[in-house]
Amino acid sequence: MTLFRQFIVRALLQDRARTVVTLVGLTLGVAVVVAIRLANASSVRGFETALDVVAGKTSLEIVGAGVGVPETQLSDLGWLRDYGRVSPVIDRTASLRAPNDTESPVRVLGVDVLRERPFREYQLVRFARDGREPRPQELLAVLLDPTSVVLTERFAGRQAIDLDTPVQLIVGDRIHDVVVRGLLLDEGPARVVDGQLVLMDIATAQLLFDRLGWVDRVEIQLYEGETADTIADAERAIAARLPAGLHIQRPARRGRQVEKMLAAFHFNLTSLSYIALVVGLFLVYNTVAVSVITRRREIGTLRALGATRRMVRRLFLGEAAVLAMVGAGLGLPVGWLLARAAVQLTSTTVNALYITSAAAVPALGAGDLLIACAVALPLALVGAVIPATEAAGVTPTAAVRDVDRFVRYHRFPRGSVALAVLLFGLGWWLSTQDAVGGLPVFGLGAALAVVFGAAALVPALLDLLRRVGRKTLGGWFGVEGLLAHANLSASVSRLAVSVAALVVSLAMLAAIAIMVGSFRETVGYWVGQTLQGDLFVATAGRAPLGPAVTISAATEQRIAAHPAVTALDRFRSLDLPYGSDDGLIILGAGDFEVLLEYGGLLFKSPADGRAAMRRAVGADAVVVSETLALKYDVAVDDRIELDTPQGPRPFEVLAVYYDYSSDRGRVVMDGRTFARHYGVQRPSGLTLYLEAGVDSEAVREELLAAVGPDHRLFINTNAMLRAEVLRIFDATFAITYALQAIAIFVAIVGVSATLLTLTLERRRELALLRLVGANRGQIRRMVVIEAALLGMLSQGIGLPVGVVLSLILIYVVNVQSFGWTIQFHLPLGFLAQSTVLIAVTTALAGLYPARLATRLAEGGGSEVIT
Amino acid sequence: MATLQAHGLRRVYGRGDSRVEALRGVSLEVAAGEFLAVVGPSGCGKTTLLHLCGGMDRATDGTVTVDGVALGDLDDDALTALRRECVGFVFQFFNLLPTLTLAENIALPLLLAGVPSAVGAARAREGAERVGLAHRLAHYPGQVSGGELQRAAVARAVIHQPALLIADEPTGNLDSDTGRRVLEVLRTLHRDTGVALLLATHDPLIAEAADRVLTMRDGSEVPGPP
Repeated sequence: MTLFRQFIVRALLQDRARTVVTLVGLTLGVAVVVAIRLANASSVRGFETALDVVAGKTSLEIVGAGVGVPETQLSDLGWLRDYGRVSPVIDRTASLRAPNDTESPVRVLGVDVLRERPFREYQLVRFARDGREPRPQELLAVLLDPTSVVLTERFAGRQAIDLDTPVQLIVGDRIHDVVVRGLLLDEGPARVVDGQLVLMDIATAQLLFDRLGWVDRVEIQLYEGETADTIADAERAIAARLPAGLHIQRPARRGRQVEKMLAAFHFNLTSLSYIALVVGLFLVYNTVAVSVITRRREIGTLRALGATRRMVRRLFLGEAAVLAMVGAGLGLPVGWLLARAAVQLTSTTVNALYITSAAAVPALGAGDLLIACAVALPLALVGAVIPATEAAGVTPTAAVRDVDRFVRYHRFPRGSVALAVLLFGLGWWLSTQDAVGGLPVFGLGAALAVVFGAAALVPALLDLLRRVGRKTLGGWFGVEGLLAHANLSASVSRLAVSVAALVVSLAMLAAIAIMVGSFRETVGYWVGQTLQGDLFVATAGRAPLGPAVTISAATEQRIAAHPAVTALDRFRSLDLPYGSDDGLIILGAGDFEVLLEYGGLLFKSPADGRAAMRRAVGADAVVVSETLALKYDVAVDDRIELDTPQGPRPFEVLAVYYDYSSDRGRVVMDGRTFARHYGVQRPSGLTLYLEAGVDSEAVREELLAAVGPDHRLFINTNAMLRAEVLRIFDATFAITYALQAIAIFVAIVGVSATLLTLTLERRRELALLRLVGANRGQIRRMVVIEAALLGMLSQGIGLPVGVVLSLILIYVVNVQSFGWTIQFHLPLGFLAQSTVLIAVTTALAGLYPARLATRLAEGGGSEVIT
Repeated sequence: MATLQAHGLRRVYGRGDSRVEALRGVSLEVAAGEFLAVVGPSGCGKTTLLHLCGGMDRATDGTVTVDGVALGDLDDDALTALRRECVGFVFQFFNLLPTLTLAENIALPLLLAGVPSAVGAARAREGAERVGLAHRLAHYPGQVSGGELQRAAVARAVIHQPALLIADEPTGNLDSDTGRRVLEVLRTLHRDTGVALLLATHDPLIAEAADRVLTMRDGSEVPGPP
């Protein structure tokens, strides 16, 4: 232990720059893994927390098939009171405009106050000050006025809203004036969704949300004590008595549905986060390698004085372990901060694709510390094994005399080539395997196999470079090129690890760029083909999950009356449970005749999708998205069973079409078929087809003017919507830029650290060069050429590997995770740019080692001669 | 005029308590074609003297002139250029670059001076032939014997036809037989090229071969044996 303190800890403290760089790398690696874990947890937990608190003491709930529960059925459900207290609820989202003109998304809960009390604890500020809870009548008095709403103290405080202040609630295209009549204390339900909750009477909510005659669900709080058994018994008993079209479930099911929706997204994100660990692994390798190289003489002395090989190996493994522990300790808080930033960044993604809000990042616990250590420690030890073994191999005499640095040229590494071939074969086999539980486990396994295969191929390729290329480089860069090639050639075994790490990182960069580029091209083409309408009308506050907000009849009439509008497609959508395990698909409805005449779905099968679609007009038939077809193994001519208010009904699948708007799977039926099964519902959006030659921008202005100031609509022209789609796409993939930054970071730090190692190792040779007449510029140029060579070599291997990886990502991982067909597209411009960028950054990364080299060359003269 | 002239050379390392005066005012001259041997016990300042004379280090006091150029007036780049053009070095531990072949090692001073690689290769071949290494040109330093390494180092030291050749214990790391052969090569080259040779050694046999001997002790010149 004393030896460890003297020999390792003291050295780490003395060589601060190297210690700090390694710790930064390790910290970053651990932090990224922790951050993604926390961020993922927070997006699911955000929904679950909201669910738990809003669900309150509700044990069970009754839901309808997508459209909710008709009030007419409520009177038939009187028997539910035999089991517990029953309460209907409207649960929607809207937008609230405060007097200061800021708009915030809010969750609106319409409750039957008289029945609600037992379910949730509402603490109104004015009663709490008197030290008591409001009586139902008092709460009713607050809410009875149809313009009354209750906000949370937390939200009101933030927006500077006082009691009795008028505010505006924007529901769909309508703007409603309401007055804040109560404030909920900052506890219980009021803390949900960061306080962005609006409470109102259920009747008012039905009116506001166009839900007259419907409630979203009926909640039940059992009379008996709530044990797992009593709930399960009641669930079974109630299920047996419910009429067709209604289902009983536990509130937690909605959470599970969200979790399932996000599972693939999170799985992929987590897998990518492990790339960051490559940085850590690689830096530990370098640090310990430098440590061994700079202290060869000391190690030799230790060995001469009686230290065993095992002691020496343990010393250096111990160094790695110390670094890992400190890195893990620092990585945790940094990870938490990163997670907070990532939640803000990915919330665009999660929001755009899935849910409306993510919760605050959960606090760090002992479990996180354990995970951080479990990640960092083995990683560091693996990174340190090679240099520690090298240290153990230092002989006392050789190290003391320091004459053992003669270049050892190895034979062609046949073993690693065989391993590479084996790994590539394994990758190919894994890529042909099916997903496991909807997750691309084998697909990512295939990617991993290819990455490791490429890493195993590196020594052979370096050996190849050693055999060829000296003349070329000498020709291009003169004596500096010759020396650079000679130096790199002589260090094949030392370079193999560094170059392999660089290759992995650059291959990932290329693969992600190709995948995202291909996806963007595909979506661009799809948008071009599919978005044929001239104007698209949507409402504000449209939530990606949960009931869609609708367009009022008045607005629709005004729009349809515009003389330039030749056709109009009303579409509506709702979430529908599908499949055996908590899947939630989207059921959409549109006017198929209009779509057939004006629109342009891109069909995957059958060949003549339009003819198939024509047969679906008015019939109990549907077209499905390819995501649904892949996820639920549905093909043309199959029959699928959809939940309807009348119970499950069969629908014939006539066509499969490409759809990139959601990975949940979408079933589309003709508007008339929809109305027959789900009742007449207001549309959630309109697609307008205008007369030929009309200026759609002008029509848009006229329509906005026609709907007037008391309604609010978003009308997009075709060009605006296309741009918006691509904007959302880019926001969705914003996180991949972070990964690209990591790849560049690895390249810079990797090259710099590798050359630092090599430079320290050959200080005598550098001094000798100076003595035989090399000037400082020549030495600097030599090191910079080495740096650029390393970068270009890694990029040269990384690019083709990246292309292979992208094929796996596109054709295996993506299909298994999301079910999208992506057309392969090589973003040549980007790849060329990144190659130049890598060449320049790696050359720049050589500047510091180059400076060190000239310094060492100055100071090493006496070493050469003595 | 002598190829190498040094007057009153002093070299002090460190300060205060750790101050060490390695050279205490040494003067010498070596004419073209002359062979001066520097002898003395370890630590007497031989190597320091060679450093200063070869432009590898700068004197605390005193002047050095090589081929008519005062080294004290040169900046680092000019000093490097002078080493490259006018001085050749042979060291005790061979000091070839392990990453280059013997041919590339021998040609290195020419390549660093910007001579085209084809010319460098041809001159390296000639040099290797002169020291009996023509069959080892494509070998790396790790693949040849100590004597061959030192002969390659000698060939490298004179490939650019320097005015001054500095050799520091060139046979110190070789057995006596091999050492004799290396010395033979050195003397032949010295005779053929007319280079001024400044050589430090412990070996009385080598010193005997010199035209003159300078004996040192504790950083100063002392009268040597007659």
